[in-house]
Amino acid sequence: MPRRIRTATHAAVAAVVSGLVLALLALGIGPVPALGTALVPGAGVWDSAAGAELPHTETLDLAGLKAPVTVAFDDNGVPTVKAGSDDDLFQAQGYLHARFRLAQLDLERRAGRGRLAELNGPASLESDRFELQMGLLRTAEAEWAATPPDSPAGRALTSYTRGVNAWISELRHNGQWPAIFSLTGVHPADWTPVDSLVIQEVLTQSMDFTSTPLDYAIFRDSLGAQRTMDWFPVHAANDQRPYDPGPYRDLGTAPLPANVNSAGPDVPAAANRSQPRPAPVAPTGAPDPAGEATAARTLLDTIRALPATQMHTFPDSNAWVANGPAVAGGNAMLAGDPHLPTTLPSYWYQIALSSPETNATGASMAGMPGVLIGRNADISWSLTDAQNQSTVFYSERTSPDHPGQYFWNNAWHPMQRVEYTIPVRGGDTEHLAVDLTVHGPVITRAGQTTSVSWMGNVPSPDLAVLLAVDKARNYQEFRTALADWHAPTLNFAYADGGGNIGVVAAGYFPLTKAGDPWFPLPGTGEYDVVGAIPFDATPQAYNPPNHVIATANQRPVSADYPYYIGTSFNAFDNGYRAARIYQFLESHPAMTAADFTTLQNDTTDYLATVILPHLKEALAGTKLDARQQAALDVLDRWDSTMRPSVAGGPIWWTFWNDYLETTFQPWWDQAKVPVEKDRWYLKVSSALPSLDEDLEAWTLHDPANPAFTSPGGPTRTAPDAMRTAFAQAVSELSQDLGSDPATWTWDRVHTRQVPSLTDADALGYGPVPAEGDRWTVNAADGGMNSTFGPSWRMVVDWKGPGSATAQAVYPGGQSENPASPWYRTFIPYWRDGRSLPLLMAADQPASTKVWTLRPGA
Amino acid sequence: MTYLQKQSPAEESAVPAPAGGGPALPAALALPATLVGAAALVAVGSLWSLWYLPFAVGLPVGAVTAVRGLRARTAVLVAAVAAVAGWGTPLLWRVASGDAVAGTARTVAALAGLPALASLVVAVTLLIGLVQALLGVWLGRTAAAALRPGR
Repeated sequence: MPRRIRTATHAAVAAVVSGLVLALLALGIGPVPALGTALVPGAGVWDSAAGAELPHTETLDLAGLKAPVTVAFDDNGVPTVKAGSDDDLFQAQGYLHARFRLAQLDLERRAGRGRLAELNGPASLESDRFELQMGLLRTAEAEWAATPPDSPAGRALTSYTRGVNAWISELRHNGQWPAIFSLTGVHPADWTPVDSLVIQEVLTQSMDFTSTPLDYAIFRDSLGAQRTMDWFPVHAANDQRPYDPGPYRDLGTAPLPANVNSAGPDVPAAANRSQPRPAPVAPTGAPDPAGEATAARTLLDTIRALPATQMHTFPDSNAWVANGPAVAGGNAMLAGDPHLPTTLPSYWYQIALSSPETNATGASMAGMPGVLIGRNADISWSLTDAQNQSTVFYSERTSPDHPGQYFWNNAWHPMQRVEYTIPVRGGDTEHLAVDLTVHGPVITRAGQTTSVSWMGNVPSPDLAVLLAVDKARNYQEFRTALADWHAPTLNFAYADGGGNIGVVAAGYFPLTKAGDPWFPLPGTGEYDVVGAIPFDATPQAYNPPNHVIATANQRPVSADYPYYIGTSFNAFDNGYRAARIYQFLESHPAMTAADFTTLQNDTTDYLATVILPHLKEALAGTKLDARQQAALDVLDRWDSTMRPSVAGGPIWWTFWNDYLETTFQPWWDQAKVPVEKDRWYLKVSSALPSLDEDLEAWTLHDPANPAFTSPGGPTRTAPDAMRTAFAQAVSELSQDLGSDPATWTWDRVHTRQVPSLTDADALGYGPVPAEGDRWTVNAADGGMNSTFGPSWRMVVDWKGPGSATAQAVYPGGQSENPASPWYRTFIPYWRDGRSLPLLMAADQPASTKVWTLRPGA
Repeated sequence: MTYLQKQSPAEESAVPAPAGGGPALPAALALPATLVGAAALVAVGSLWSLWYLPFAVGLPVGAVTAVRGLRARTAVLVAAVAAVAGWGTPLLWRVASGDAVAGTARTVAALAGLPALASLVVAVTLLIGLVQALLGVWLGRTAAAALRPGR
């Protein structure tokens, strides 16, 4: 080859290679970001290092403020905001949330808006499709449209939005974006009030959306209807302790407002009150169990793939209150620890707010103005999930002869269609069409066209309620405010300086015209949701004669409550935490805040205290080998606490799960239950509250229940099954933990983890050996590596009107920046069961880090 | 094999030796001056997000050295040092200013799904600058060779 051609070829190859590499660095490819722009040392991700700096005393200009605002940080980053008006107060709060939680804000709104794939790529497409189908965005838009701009909520959202955007605007100039934005090159758009409401909807979904009707459909298809209802009954088989023991009132049905996520004619008029009753034979709406099961399997595949923060997985939260002789000094005390997925950053951002109108301190939710859980000068409050059934699935009747239509109330009706585009980083933009029926959005057509009626899709003025709660001065104002709270349905625990205590279940408890709403219902009109339980008839308690109230996701009412609110599987807790809390509260007179803290950190497994005597009785006189005897000796010495260094916990836990498996698994195998479709709620395990309740009740009261006898097997009783399970547990633990049962401590099998919201392992905390299980008051749910538990612990001790001491802690830190000293500040306190003072703005000590926010351009 | 690697000793030996005495001083200064200037350009450019400057600097370095008949290793040395110094200096400056460079690097590594080692991301950053510079030199020298009138 002539030299000239050779050199030209070299040059061409060099040009092509250079061009390709530069294009790769400029644009990225697939999941690989544009590394040139991301890693350039004078800008890019390195600019985010400045965001890790702790604040220092300075004056900042904030456009839109009416008067100067001061923000004083304590050593852990908790700000005290003092403003001359609520407008300025919430603008400053928005600014703070953005300064310290912008990536979290953007991730959460993306999740609700169906825009995660734009940041994360195709892996998030399924989540985006699901959320756009569900309609979180549509509901948020409707809520904002229904919010008068001059109302307290409208003004708060507008001010808050202005604060968030002030920081986004600064970032556009200084480039100090959180690393995730610089790395991906996808930067957040301006904040809007709808974004805050979308975040409210995400939390609502995570607390209130129920997928268990889908599990019920699968069980009915596999186990059969009779066994399904025998083993997953409406009312739990075990004894539970409701916080509202009655007497109850039947006040009829309250109508629901029009729903932006439903189509067609208005919802039918309220017809009845729906104590669950047999479904009438419906000529046009006969159930199709096989089709429903297919739809359920498809939907569960999607739902279980969603991020943990978007879906309800476990019963959430404890709160209890006591007054009079139950507390030292005779006033009132409140303890609250909402259980949520523990993440870094946390759901919560601690803050003290002060203006002439608002004076509150506690946990704010990143993305929303105000304080969600906390106290003001007069009252304190905390939340637990009501766990009622808020979701009803409908199997719509469709026909190839009527494309785009569904049969309802004896006529074919057109579905309404909403269309979306979903940008995908590193992929093609996807187009999505969502069809709406009178019940709600169609969420699958696999097997059966299925739509969902979900109370979270009914606009709920939650922010207006919260702002009123923040300002409430007594129980009457508190309760009056809660009457407008619709979703998620929560138990609001209350204590005030006047020595009063109470719990109010606020939110929609939907009622159907007929049928068993825990299964998917025919969508032909005979089984529609027709209203909700009137607020005055929802579970509530106020100043009870025993001076204590505890809400821990147990069924809040007894079996004679006149309304249907959910089943044992859908999704009330099995009552073990509530039973333990009541046991403690009623055996400790004149309790102090320290007692409440002790109870919040309690690791007693209540079920173990109930079952172990029966196990020992079953084993008495039985020939045990040396290791089994040693394991039994350990149990004899064990105090039923799931503490890390204590032997006994693993034996109990393994035994109980083996006992469940010994009893139920043969039936599951025979019925070929497709357990792989829902890793949490189809598999035989202690995560199915109904099975725990059944087994507990049978062990105590019905040891000859036929369920103990496996299909085709010899007759068996509870003691037989317990002996088998115990031998199996000892054998398994010997393999896993060695031959000496005295060394089988809980910390060898159980850990806690606080994962990063980004799923980056190294940005989380743990796993570390830890205490607790899913039934201990100090709950650790989510498996043997728990990622779910107390997301905020608070105790408020009222001394008199306007006078209280309070403490709180959460597993996280105020800053979302992993390089910040405030990223994990509170985790050591939380892990060790300690708390920090929760102070009102007026009580904050002098700070060395004070921002003065002044009105600026 | 690249052009740089394939350059023969005969070609390198054809580079005219610098004249001795007085004229050698400017020539001796030219190399460090070029190096410092290029590094400063890369560093300052990075503050303006001009991430491609290592390549842009490598390109003329490659071309000029080729035209002047200087050794390839000289071009590589100048461009590589300019790139690494040009990108390393802002990082060092950040460290000296108290920025959480190591923490940020660990965060980025974790977000990228890599082991959360600060040194890894710092190394990748410098490597990106270095690779750009080498590509620039390569393209500069090959282009100059291709465009040079036949001898």
